[in-house]
Amino acid sequence: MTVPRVHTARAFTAVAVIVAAAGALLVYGGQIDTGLYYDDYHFLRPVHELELRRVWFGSWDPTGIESPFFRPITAWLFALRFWAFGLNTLALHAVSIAGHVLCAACVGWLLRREGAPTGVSLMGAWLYAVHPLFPYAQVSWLTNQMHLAESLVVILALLTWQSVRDRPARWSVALLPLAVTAFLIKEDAVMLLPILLALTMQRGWLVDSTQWKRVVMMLPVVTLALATLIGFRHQRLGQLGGYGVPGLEQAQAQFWKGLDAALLLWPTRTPWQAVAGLIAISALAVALARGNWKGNKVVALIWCAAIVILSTRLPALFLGIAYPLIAWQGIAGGVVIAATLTGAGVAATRQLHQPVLIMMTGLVITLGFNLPFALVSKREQYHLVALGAVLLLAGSVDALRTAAGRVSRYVLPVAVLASLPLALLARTQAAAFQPCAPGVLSTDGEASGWWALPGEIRAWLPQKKQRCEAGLSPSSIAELPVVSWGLYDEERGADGEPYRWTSDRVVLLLRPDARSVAFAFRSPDASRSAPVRIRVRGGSRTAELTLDSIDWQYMTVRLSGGALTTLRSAHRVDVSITPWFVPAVRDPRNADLRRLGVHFRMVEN
Amino acid sequence: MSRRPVYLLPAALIAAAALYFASGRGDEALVADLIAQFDDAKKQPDTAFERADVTVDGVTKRSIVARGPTRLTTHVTVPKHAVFRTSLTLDPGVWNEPGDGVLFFVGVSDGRSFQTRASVTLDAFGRPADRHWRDISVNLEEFAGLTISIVLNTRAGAAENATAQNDVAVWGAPMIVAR
Repeated sequence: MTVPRVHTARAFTAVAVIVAAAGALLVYGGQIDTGLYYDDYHFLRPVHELELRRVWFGSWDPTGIESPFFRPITAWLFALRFWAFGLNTLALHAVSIAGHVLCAACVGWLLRREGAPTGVSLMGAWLYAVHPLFPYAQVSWLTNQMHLAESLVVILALLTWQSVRDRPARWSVALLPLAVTAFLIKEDAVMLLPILLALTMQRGWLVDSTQWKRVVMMLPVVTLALATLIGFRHQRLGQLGGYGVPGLEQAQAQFWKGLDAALLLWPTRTPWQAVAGLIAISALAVALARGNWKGNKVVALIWCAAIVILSTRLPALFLGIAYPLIAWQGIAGGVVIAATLTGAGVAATRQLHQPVLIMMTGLVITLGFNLPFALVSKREQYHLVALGAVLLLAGSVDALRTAAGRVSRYVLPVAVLASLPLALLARTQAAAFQPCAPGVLSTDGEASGWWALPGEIRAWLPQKKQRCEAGLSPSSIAELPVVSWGLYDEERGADGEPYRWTSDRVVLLLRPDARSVAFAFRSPDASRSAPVRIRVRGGSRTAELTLDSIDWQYMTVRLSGGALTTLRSAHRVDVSITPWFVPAVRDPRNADLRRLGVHFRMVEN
Repeated sequence: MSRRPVYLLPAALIAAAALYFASGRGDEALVADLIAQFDDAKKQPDTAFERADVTVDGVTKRSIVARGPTRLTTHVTVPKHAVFRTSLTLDPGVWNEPGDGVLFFVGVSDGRSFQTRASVTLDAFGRPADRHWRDISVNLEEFAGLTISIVLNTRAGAAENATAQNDVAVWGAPMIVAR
C-alpha cells in the first residue's frame, strides 16, 4: 500500500486529524469520562480575582496544597476551564482528547515540513495519538491539561522554528513569546530554547552550513533568555521552587529512567518483559517472512501460542516470579526497541539522509526535555519526552520504508499493525483512571482531607467508594444536586436553626434541571446605618438584596438555561456580599483570617 | 513584513519591563507599624518581649526585643505593592557574652498555608561582623488584598546543638510599607 502525496495543506490537515482521531478513538473510546483524579479535586474550583493576580507573584496554587511552582498561565487556564465547564467531567475530558488529537495532527505537520513523505507524516500523527506515555501525561488526568497546553505551545514553537529557520535571523524573535508562554505554563519548557538552538546546530551540521551563523547569533539570546526566565521565577517564588536538588547518583538514575520510559517503554515490571517481547516479535516476524509461507505457518502458530502462554502467569510460577514474562508493556517495549534499532541501523548503514534528520530531531527533543527530569522523576511528566520518542519512531519507519525498495508499500501497514500493542498499552493506562480503578480510589481518600474540597464532594467520595466496592458504577460528580464553594461548616444559632457563614463570594453549581433556587440570608451585624448588600447572579439575571436588620431575609432566583449551562451541565449561581469582614481584623487576638460575609441557608432547590 | 516591526517586539518588551519596575519605585506609605500594634500582637511566650529603643552604629531604632525562642504574630491587611521591612541585630548588651547566635525568620500565613519568607542567623559573639543592623525586606505583593499574619520568629542558632544562652534578639523598626 502506498499513501498518495496529499498536495494541499487543507487536505493533509483533514487526513492528519482523521488519523489522529482514529488513534485516539482506539485508545480512549468507551472510556472518555473517567471522572476526577487526585489533584483535580482541588484545581476544579472557582478562582477569586485576587488569586488570579496572586499567581503572578507566587505559587500557582494559592490553596497551599501543591508544592510551590511558578505557573501563572496554568492557573489562569484552570480558572478559565472551570468558568466554561464547571464540574462537567465529560466535557472536560472531551477537551483533553480534542487537544491531544490537535497535537497529534500538528506532529504530522511537523514531519511533513521536515520533508517526510505523507505516509510517514501521518504515521507520526498516529503514533502520537496512540503512544502509551500520553494517557497519564496529558489526556486522562485533568490536572495534566497543563501538559497538553504546554505540548501545544511547544509543537507550535517547533512549527514556527521550521518557518523562520531559513529566513533572516531576526525572524527567530518570534520564538521568544512562545518560549516564555511555555515556561509560564510549566517550568520544564525552560528547555525549549536550548532545544531549538540544538536543532539549529544539527541543521548546520547536516543540512546547511550557513546555519552556524544563526547559531552564533542565537547563543547569547538563548543564554540571556534562560537566565531571565529562571531569575524571574526565583524572584517571584522567593526560591527556586520544586522538589529540591537530588544527589548526583539519584539525578543520573532519574535521567536514565526518563529515557527508558520514552524510548524503550520501560520500566516494565522487569526489563526482561521487554526483551521477551522483542524476542517473541522478531521471531514471529522472521518465521512469517522467511521461505515459503506454507511451511512457516506452523512455526508462526507455534510462536503465537508461545506468546500467549508466556503472557499468562503459569510459566512465571515455575520460574518463581510473580508476573508474566510477556505483557502488553513488554510487547510494546519490544516493538519500540525493534523499530528504533532496525530503523537506526538501516538509516546509518545506507546513509539515508532524510530519516536520519528526523530521527536526530526526535533524539535531540527527547534528550533535551528529559534533562530537567534528572531533578525529579515523574512518569506523568514525560509528555515532551514522548514527543521526541514519537519523532524518533517516525524516522525509523521512514528509514525502513526507504530501504524496503520493492516492498516499501508494506512498511506502513506493518508499522500500523506493529503499533497496536502501543495503543493497547495506552488503553490500559487510560483505564487506570476509571472512577473505580484502585489507584483512583486510593487517592480519593487523600483528596477528601483537603480543605479546599466542597463539603458536598467530601460527602460524595465515600458513597462513590461504597458503590465501587459493591461492583456498581458510581454516580458522576456532575450529577450532585448542588456543589458550593465559599461556604464554611454548618453552625447553629441560638434559635437552633442551622446556617453556614459565607465568604465574600459564594459559587454554587446546581443541576441543569433545577428551575429555581431559594436562599435565606442573615447578618448578625446589619442595621439601617450599616446595611449588608447581597448580589446574586444566576443565569442571565442578577438580583440584589439589602440586609438592614438581623432577621433572615429570603430570595428566590429563577434559573434559565443557556450555552454556558449546557457546557457546564449545571446552573451556576454567584453570590457576592459587601461589606465582608475578617475576624482577625475586628479583634487582633482572633487568629481567624477568613473573609466572612453573612449567615446562609439554602431553602429550596 | 518590514524590518521595523520585528525589531520593535523585543524593544517593546524591554520597555514594558523597565516601566513596570520603574513604576514600583517612588514614595512609600506606611501601612502598618508593628511597634504600634505590639500590644495587640500575639506573643509566644507572653513574657519574652518588650519594646525598647536600641542603638547600633549610632542609629537608634524603636524595636521589639525578644529573649530566647519566640514567636510574635500580627495581622495585617495587605495593599498592593507592599513590603515588610525590619532591621535585625542582637542586643549590644550581650555581644560580649558567650552564645552561638540567634536564627531570625519571618513567616507569612494567609490562614491556609505558612511560608518562611526570610531567614537570617546573627552571632554577634562569634562573628564581630554581625555587630551591626542587618536590614531585611519581604515582598508581600503575592498577598495583596488579603489579611495575613506576619510571624516574627527567633530560635537558638542554626546549629543542631544550638543553645538559647544570651539570645536577645532585636527587631528594629518592623513595619509594612507600600510603594
